[in-house]
Amino acid sequence: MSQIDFRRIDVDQYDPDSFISKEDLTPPCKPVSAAEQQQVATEIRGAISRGEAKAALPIALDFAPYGGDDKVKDAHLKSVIEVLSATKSAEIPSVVKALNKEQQDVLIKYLYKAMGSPQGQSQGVGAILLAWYEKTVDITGQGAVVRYMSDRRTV
Amino acid sequence: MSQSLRPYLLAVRTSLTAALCLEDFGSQVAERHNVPEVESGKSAEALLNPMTIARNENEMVLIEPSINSVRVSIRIKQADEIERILVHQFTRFLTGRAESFYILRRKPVPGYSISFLITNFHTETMLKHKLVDFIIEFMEVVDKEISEMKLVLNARARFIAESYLVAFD
Amino acid sequence: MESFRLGTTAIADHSFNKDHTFVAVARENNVTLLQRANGKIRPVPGKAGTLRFHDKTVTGVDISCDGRIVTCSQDRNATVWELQQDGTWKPFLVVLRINRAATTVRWSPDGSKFAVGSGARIIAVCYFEAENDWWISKHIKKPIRSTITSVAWHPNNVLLAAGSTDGHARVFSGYIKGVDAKPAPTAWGERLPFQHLCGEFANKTYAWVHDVAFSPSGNSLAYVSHDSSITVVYPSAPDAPPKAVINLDTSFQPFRSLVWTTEDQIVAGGYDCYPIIFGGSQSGWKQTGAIDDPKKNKKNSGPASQFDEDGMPTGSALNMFRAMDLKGTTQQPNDDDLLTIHQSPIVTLRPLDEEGGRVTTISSTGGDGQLVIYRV
Repeated sequence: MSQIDFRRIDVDQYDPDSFISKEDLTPPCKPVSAAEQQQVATEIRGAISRGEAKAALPIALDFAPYGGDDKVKDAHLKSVIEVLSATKSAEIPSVVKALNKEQQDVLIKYLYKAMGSPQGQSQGVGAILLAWYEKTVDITGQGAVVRYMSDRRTV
Repeated sequence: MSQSLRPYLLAVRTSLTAALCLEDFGSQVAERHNVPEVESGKSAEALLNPMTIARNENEMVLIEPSINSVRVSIRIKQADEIERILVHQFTRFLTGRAESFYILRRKPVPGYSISFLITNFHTETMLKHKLVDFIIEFMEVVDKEISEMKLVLNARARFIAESYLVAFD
Repeated sequence: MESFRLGTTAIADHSFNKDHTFVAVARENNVTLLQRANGKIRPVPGKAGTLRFHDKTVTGVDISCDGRIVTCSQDRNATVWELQQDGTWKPFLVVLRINRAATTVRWSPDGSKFAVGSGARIIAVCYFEAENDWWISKHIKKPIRSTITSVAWHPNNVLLAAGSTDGHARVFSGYIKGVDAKPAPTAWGERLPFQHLCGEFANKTYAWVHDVAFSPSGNSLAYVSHDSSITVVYPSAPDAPPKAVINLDTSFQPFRSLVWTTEDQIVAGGYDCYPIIFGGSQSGWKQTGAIDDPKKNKKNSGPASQFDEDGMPTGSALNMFRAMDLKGTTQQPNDDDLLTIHQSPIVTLRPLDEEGGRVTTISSTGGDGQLVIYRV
């Protein structure tokens, strides 16, 4: 039945000016190397071990590796989850309020990414993420959630 | 239980409200057609980043937004074999009657128990906040329903076992 | 504030004529004409009340300053309608030459041409060709990469702004030889051959641009996009980077439409169902107010039934907390309607009355079939 195979070919994909490519869709971002991520991760871990998770969060969020590959992004997600788990739940509202708008948007992005990854779904982390999510959205409103959806730069 | 259910449903509500910002969008691929972009997936720019809201590995919601349609998939809690069977039967019952539920998708997205497909035509004819309420209500009720069915099933099994064993008394 | 229920089906676009005595409303496959008199809006009786031509959803309608109506539709066509002596409307052919849905249409300020945005990644600028008695089009193609969502004309009748789902707002020249007089140079450009790209702007997120508009003077451009933000661009000189690009992220849901009321004020409406006012200048923009704010609209809702299905008294504090606990709702469960006039997102906002150089009333339509006139 090889005669009908041609029917399965998506001819549209060969039309040169028909489709928007992935590169056209994503805004230009600075590339991030694994070494840079390592450095930030160490910094964050240091802050957590000193009991300063509050100070570690802005560092982690400012570093958002938009231009990194999947490996770097996953490694950084791990660091962010560490920070989020290390913060006491009573402190969350004050920590979120202390962030600037940009950082709050990035925080929402990480909360969604964490919930969508196996690390964020394992025992107990899910509840922590949901608590963070609830308190962050209270402060940012719908805007940050919409920006997570529509931002072509992913963390 | 409701203590930890609340933030979960709240997160789903917020995400759904944001995702249901839909508009009429004629297909860029098929002439004179209007297709749900999330299903066709032919125009990359019409799709948005999908959202996952997870309570744990067994309970999560996947929301896939696009310019004119949103696909909402729910993984219902299935703790043991009986619940798995009950969920399967329950969702099968619903999807078999999908046309009377308007927004129900006939087939769930792989990995999920049940899926809804909401298009801009639904948000135009139904109020958006009511649609959100409906999904939330569904999620709330389905858990209750499954655990109730499980109780009934267990009670029945016990009763049958007892009356069967009476003969050997 | 006045609201008019024109039906239950979604309204894609609406346009008032020059003296605001009648309004054209695009609904499903037709355009309905309605008279406005003594604070009421009524359908024009008889055959003249409906413009039937399209066989797919009509996506845009606009009335020019000299009273011609143009409509466009997802059936890839546009039509110009002219009022005849006997009170009927006669359709004129438009040679659009696009192969995907037309999404939006706007007359130029002097009514000599119009622009049609389309899903074929093309803007068609159309003008009248007397010898053939039809409207003919010229295409703007490059560098558009996706569907055009909105077009807006500069007051000088030549420059054309367009928003697209590829995340860019662009300013083109829509100069047509033989139709337009040579335009005076502006901050956007000096020499303006057709299709010349005068400016290209995008947010850092590359989110879809829903609507674009030039300020009344034409010296700045604003656009709203799907990342819930509003952006204002102040150009400096031709082929130079703009003086200022102000991008304001809001905490609202995305906006679908915007209107400049003065040089320093913009009203935007969208998925929150009520218009929000922004004010500012080159140094910065911020939200200055809202019209029909649901937080201020307390409804005196009488509960329909005293008890809900579980036998709990409705509207009680217990019930409210129960709803918050179980469903995560913050509203009272028996509140069926939104606390805004529009029950569905606002799709189109248009300026209506003007007084002393500032827009005093704006009209809006949306998915719920209502037309609302707001006082700014």
